[in-house]
Amino acid sequence: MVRASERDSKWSMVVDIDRCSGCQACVIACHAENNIKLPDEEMYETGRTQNWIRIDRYWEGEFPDVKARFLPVFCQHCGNAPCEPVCPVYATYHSLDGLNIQVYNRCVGTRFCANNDPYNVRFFNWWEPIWPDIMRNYLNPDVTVRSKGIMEKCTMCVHRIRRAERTADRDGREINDGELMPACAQACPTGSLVFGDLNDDNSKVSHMVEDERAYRLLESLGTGPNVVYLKKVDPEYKGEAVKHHG
Amino acid sequence: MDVTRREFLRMAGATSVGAVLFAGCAIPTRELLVQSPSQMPEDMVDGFDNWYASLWRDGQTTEGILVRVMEGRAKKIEGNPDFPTNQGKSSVRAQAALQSLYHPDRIKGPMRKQGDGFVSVSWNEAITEVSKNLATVKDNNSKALLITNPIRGSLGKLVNKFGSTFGNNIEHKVYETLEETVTRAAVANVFGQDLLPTFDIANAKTILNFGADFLGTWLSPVAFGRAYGEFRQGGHDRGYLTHVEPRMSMTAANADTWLANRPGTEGHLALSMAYVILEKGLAKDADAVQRLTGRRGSAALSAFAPDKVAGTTGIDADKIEAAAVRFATETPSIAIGGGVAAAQTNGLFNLNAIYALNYLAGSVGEKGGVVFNPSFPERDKSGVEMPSSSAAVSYEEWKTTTNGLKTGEYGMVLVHGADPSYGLSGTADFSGALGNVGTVVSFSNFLDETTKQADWILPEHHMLEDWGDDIPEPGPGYASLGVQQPVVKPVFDTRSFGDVLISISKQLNLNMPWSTVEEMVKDQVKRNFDRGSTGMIRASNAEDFWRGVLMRGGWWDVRATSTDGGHIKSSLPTQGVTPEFTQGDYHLIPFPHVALTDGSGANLVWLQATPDPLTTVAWKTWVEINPRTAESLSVREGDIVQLNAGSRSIEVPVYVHPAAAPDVLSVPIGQGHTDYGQWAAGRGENVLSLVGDKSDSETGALAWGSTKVNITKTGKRIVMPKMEGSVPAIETVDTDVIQVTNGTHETHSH
Repeated sequence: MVRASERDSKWSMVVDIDRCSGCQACVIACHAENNIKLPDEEMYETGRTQNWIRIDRYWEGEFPDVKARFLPVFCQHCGNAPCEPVCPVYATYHSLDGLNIQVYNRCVGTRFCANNDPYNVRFFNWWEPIWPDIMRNYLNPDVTVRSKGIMEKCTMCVHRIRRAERTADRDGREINDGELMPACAQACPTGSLVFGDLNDDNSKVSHMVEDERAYRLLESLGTGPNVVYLKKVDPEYKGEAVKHHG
Repeated sequence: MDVTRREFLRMAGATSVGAVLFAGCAIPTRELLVQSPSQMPEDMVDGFDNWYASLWRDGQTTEGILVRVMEGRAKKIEGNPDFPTNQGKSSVRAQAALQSLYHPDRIKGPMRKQGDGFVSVSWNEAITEVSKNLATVKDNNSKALLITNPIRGSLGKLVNKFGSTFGNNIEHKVYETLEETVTRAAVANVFGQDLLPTFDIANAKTILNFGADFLGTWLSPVAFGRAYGEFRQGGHDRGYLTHVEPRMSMTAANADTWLANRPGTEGHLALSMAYVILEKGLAKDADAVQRLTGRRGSAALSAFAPDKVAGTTGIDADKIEAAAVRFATETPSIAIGGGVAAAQTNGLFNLNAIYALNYLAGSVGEKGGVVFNPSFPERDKSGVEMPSSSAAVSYEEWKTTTNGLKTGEYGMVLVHGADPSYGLSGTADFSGALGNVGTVVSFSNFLDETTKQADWILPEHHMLEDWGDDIPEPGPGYASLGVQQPVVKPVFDTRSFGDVLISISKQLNLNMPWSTVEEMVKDQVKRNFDRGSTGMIRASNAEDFWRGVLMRGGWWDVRATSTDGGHIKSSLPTQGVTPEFTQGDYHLIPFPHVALTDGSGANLVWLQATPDPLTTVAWKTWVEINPRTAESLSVREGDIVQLNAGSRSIEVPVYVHPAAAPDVLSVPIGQGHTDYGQWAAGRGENVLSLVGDKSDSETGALAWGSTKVNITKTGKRIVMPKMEGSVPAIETVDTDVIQVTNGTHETHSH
């Protein structure tokens, strides 16, 4: 048997936007898991929010025939990532198991990657993160706190993947499909986010990407996203143009 | 993809003591290809993490949780996959419980008022003095008032016992900012049930919902949200959701059809739909039809024919008819009512009509319909019953009580888990009345508005430090009891509220059969074993059974379902009840914020920073205004306007909202605290202070949807703190960002 840590995995997420209710549980679960800087009011006023996963809301139509549509957006872990080749210090690179990885202790803060990222899912630390002393008690010891001058983004909870691999290796077994979830997918009440190994033919994500509703975000750019979306179903849909929220 | 319940049990069962689920201690076994934190250095030893099953709860909802604890610190909260209601899922509020545990503004020990501030005292002094005060109340034949949030389970039992042992000199009243009085009354009228039913949304094909934001804040949003995911893409035909509400809530935003009705006309719409179903002969349950219409059939409801109500409700007759036909034919279907539909002067009329629709679709007690909950069968060794439900006192009764406080009827007030000085800030000036009370005792561990007025503060443990149990309401459709265990040592010098109540009883020489809450919880669980009611846990003795219950986060028995088929108590009204409103140009619809809800979440950073799903605004109170209305008032986003209701007013920034009705202004509840810690105090406005003195004519519940306001510009403006625009928009022109299909094979993209 190939050990879990040596398996040729391709970790991926499938996002069924027909299930997403927009509740934000994923957003706060990610903050809690990944030691993201406390999101104060000023960050929202100045457009410097750091949400590794966010829920974009799109408006369509006018009152009373108006629709709001929700789209969870996070790092797409692209197979042909535009952010990777522009890093002068190899702080961002592609792992063998399909993840776009950010090496914090290499990053020198050129921000070229964010500039090249079409999904706007990379966040620069303009300031040192500060927590009141007592709040440091809940910081996750598995995740580095990013200092000033560092770029950060969704890691697909790589620390959870590595921990699950080590546990499986120790127990002499493979990682079971569904045993391992990033914080966002674990919280998601409606089951809109599904995580798994695309190289495992029997995994749930492998079946879901075959769905006729499957598509990839900004596919036409050729970034080869590792994240697959399933289309929103709307029986009343008549094909109006979708406006962006911005 | 989720850890299935069976797998979870297997993992849990593999461990020996407590609820240690996943523990890891090993070094990486692979030669590292690239040195980086994502590939841990080979000398790195990852620490042990222990996972404990417990409960997260606030006044409204209960979630089973697993808490990750490392070196005595709580690190992360996840849903408990085995827990019957939330089944592994969790809300932003449960996630944020870490921040209320490790919070710089928590009250660090017992305190006594001195001048304008507080000084620390010992627990002995605090308990002795409070007990003396209670004794004095009894001696003077005055009254003490104990105000709590809705409490069930052992704590409910303890409070009831305390009240009955102390005697007539104490009153216990449950306070909920957004009371479910009307929903409870409608459930009793229409189904003959004392407990709130649950709705089998996962297996339904059609949902017809009036005002209940069950995906956002109503009753049990995580349990409903989980079911909603299955309703959409659960492997059966995709469910269809019709939502009726004057404001676009989260649930409205997720509906297939949203009908923006005139406020307060939900009952008329429901009766109109009932008329359509009867007229077309689509009703499933002929016997129920006879009883509901007094044997007159559709003729009883002829006043509600769609073309007759279209004008008053603001919904076209063909839309009413289409929704009714779908509801009656695409079954199983469920009719749900609550939220703003209940918060009217005709609230009970609305909800009675809405819930009665379930009989017409044959959904009562059926799979994919309305499922009743069994009452919890337990009495403990002392014969005291365990409450499975906790109904709040209505607004009208609070007004009477507030008067009593003013006139000196009560010598003492004790408050636990509630902040009525914040919630009852409108006409019923609770805070002002509380000033007339001799002694005020608060058990809160945060300095909220009510606690600020206290003479004694006896701060209770955080829920992650405390023992307890709870019967979720609404339950999962079968008997269940969640168990809460302390997962970390108390951070500060706090005590369990229940234990303090027992200590006070001892000082007063009251005969209480228990010595700690822990003992109560354990006794209760062991009695289940003794009765042979072990549910899904197999154990050979009571002690093993107790450990199994702790490990799984509770006890439940899927076979213990309700055998009640529902009883119709009254026929449908043949005459409509018209809603009444205060004077003003625009309807004001206050709505519970998705994270702050009724304001109790306002002290936590994560909850303040949770973007509102529709507007993406965070950290603020705002008013939602229709684009054309905004144009006619010449206001734009960030302009501060004043909303006036009689002599009361608030100033809030404008959010121009494409889905707002032209004559409806909506404002989130939750901000405008004068105290409650550094992140809540002095932020935003409390819209509840604008709500007029109107209540449901039958139950006396606060009609928070019945206020009308005027709007004036102030000339001031701010930059709106919001998520949208934070990142450059992904342009949708000629690209394919959000893709929609109408469910046929033809798909569309932009």
